[in-house]
Order: sequence, then C-alpha cells, then structure tokens
Amino acid sequence: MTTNSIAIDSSFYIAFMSPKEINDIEILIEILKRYEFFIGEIVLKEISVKHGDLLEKIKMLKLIIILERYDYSALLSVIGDKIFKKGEYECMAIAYYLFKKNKLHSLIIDDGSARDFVENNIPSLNPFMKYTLRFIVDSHCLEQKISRKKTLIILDKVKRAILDGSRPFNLTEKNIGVIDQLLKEVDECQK
Amino acid sequence: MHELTQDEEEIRDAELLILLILGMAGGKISVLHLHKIFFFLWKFHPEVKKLVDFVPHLKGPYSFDLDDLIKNPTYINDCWKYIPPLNSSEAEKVKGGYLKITKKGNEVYNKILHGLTEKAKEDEDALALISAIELIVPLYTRLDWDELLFLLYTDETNKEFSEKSELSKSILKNSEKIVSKLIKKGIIPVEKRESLIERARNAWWVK
Repeated sequence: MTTNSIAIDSSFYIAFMSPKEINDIEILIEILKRYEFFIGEIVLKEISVKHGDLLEKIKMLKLIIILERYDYSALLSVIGDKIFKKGEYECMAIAYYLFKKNKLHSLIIDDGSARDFVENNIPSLNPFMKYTLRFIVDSHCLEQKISRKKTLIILDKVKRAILDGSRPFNLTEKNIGVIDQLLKEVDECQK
Repeated sequence: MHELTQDEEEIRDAELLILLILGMAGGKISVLHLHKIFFFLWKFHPEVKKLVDFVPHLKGPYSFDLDDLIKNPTYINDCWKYIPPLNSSEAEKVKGGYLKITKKGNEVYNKILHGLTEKAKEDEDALALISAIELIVPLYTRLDWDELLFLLYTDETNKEFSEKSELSKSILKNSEKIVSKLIKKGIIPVEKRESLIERARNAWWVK
C-alpha cells in the first residue's frame, strides 16, 4: 500500500501562484506530479476565486484529486467556519479519510490554531501533520522527490517574499531563522 | 422474511446508523447529540441523505423521521432503550432524553462495525461513512448540549437550519461562558476566543 496522499489547504497552491509569493507554476506542477493531492470543494473554490484563470491554464484539475461526492466541509464546519481559515477543517476531514484508507502521507497545516485543534482533537493525525516547508524539505532530503535545486529555489523565494512583506505559509520575518535552518539542512542532507 | 422494498431498506439503514453512532459514543447518547451528529453525516454523505429528511425546527436542524425511528425502531429491535429526560430542567428538556445501548445492541453494533470496516476496504461509500463517524462522534459527544448548539447556531453554513430556533437567544446570551468552556476542552484555541464571540455577534439569522 503506497502512502502518497496529501491533504493541504488552499494557501499552498495560492503561494505558488501568487506574484508576490513563490510565483512558480512549474515547481508547483512538479510537486503535484510527485504525490496525490486531494482537495474538497471549499479549497477548490478558494483557489478558483484567487487564481481561476491559472487553474484553467495549467490544467491543474488534472493533477489533483477532487473529492466531489462527499461534502467534507460539513463534518467540522461548526468548529471551523470563520474560526480557522476556511478550508482547513475540510482538509482535516479529508486527511482522516485518507488515514483510514492507509494512504495518508501528510496533512499539511501552517496555522497554529488549526494545528492545536488537530493535536487536541484528532490525535491519530498528529504523526502526519507537517508545516509546508518541512514537507518540501523532507520531500527532497528524505524522499528525493523534489530536486535540490528546486527546493532551494522555493526556500529562497519564500524568504524573499517574507522580506518584501508577504506572508507565504503564514510565515513572518521572525521565521527567517527557521528558513535559514532549512537551507542549511538542504545543503547538508544529500552530501 | 420477505425481501425489503427500497423504503424499508432505507428505514433499516437509518436504524443501523443510529446504532453505529450510539455504539461509537460509548453506549449512551442524548437524543439532541444523536440528532445533530446524524445531521452532519446527512450533509456529508449522499447515501445518508436518502435515509431521512431534515428541516429547520425549534432546536435547529431536526428530522421527524429520525425522531420516530429513535423511539419506535422497526428492524433493529431491542438494541437500545429510550430514556426520557431525567428531570424538568432546561438542559434535560433540550437534550430530549437519551438512548442507551442494550446487551443485544452491543453485539449487533460490534457485528455491523466489523462488517462496515470490512466493506470499507473495497467500497468508497462505506469508507467515507465509517471514517466520518469515527471522526465526529467522539468529538461532538464531548460537547455539552449548550456548546453543541452554540457552535451549530453560529455557523453560517448551517444558517437555514437554525433560523427557527427558539433556543438561540438563551444560548447566545451565554456566549462568553460557553466559549470559555470550549477553550477549556481544547475545542477552540484560546487565541480564537474573540473570533468565536464575534461570530456569535454576527449570527443575524438566529437573533
């Protein structure tokens, strides 16, 4: 059984598509091809609102798996709506389904409150929960699914975006040290 | 025994789902909690949607069909006992009594849980259902009746089912107290206190 499935909210896709953040569609496509990305209707809607034109252009819908038959947002919406960023509670419910299917690779959440919710209330997902940049670095260092060059490009672009005042993956200037640490890790991991 | 018609099958499946929720809840659940958990599954799963109807009612989303099946099951007999409200307090009245699993109910529950888990290895509908039940039953049964109703009434995505609620005023009046309890239970992180109180203030559909 392969555990290659990812549940992640819209901020991941949006960061790669936004001119002020990573702005690198090619790398996004490469990552999407390396894993199975599952999304629900809410997350899809969030991406469409911001980058509907790009979705069409890069044919992203062929690279991800959209769960349309079930409304995953309904399960936790009473807690999630307006409290967490929209879409995160949908991701958690999708992640639990993938976990039960023995296919969950990672539940990627950057928001601290949402992570606390998972830790307190869905403990079986804790071992799968990662920050986006940790997922990307592990994907290179542990799984060799993303090249060193592209991993460094992502980290560098995230750092630059933060220094320019954006907040990719919920990161701010006080997290620059974390990015430097990750750059060092990438530098050393494949030696 | 004759072959069941589609309507009869749906009634039986709704009764099995009641038992699954009850068993997953540890063998005892208030009628209010059962109703609301069934409602979330009803919104989530297209096959559950076929089993009963939900309408906006005095306590929020409500199913007359479900209420009838809880008290007068047709196919899943002697698996639970309905216990009326324990006293005349508001809480007991709102909770609407309890279901308690019987010894036979426990045996049937284990059997259907095993069956559904096996089926889920090949059937997406079964997998989606069992994973949803496992996810939300332990979570929502940890909530007191007022916490559950507070979250439900102030959630905009369910507003059309909450508009007729006659309890909303008394629930919203206690927003701060209820939010404190939710934080204490780890349902809401402390830094989201104001967001949740604000959500309640903006819930115009229940005012």
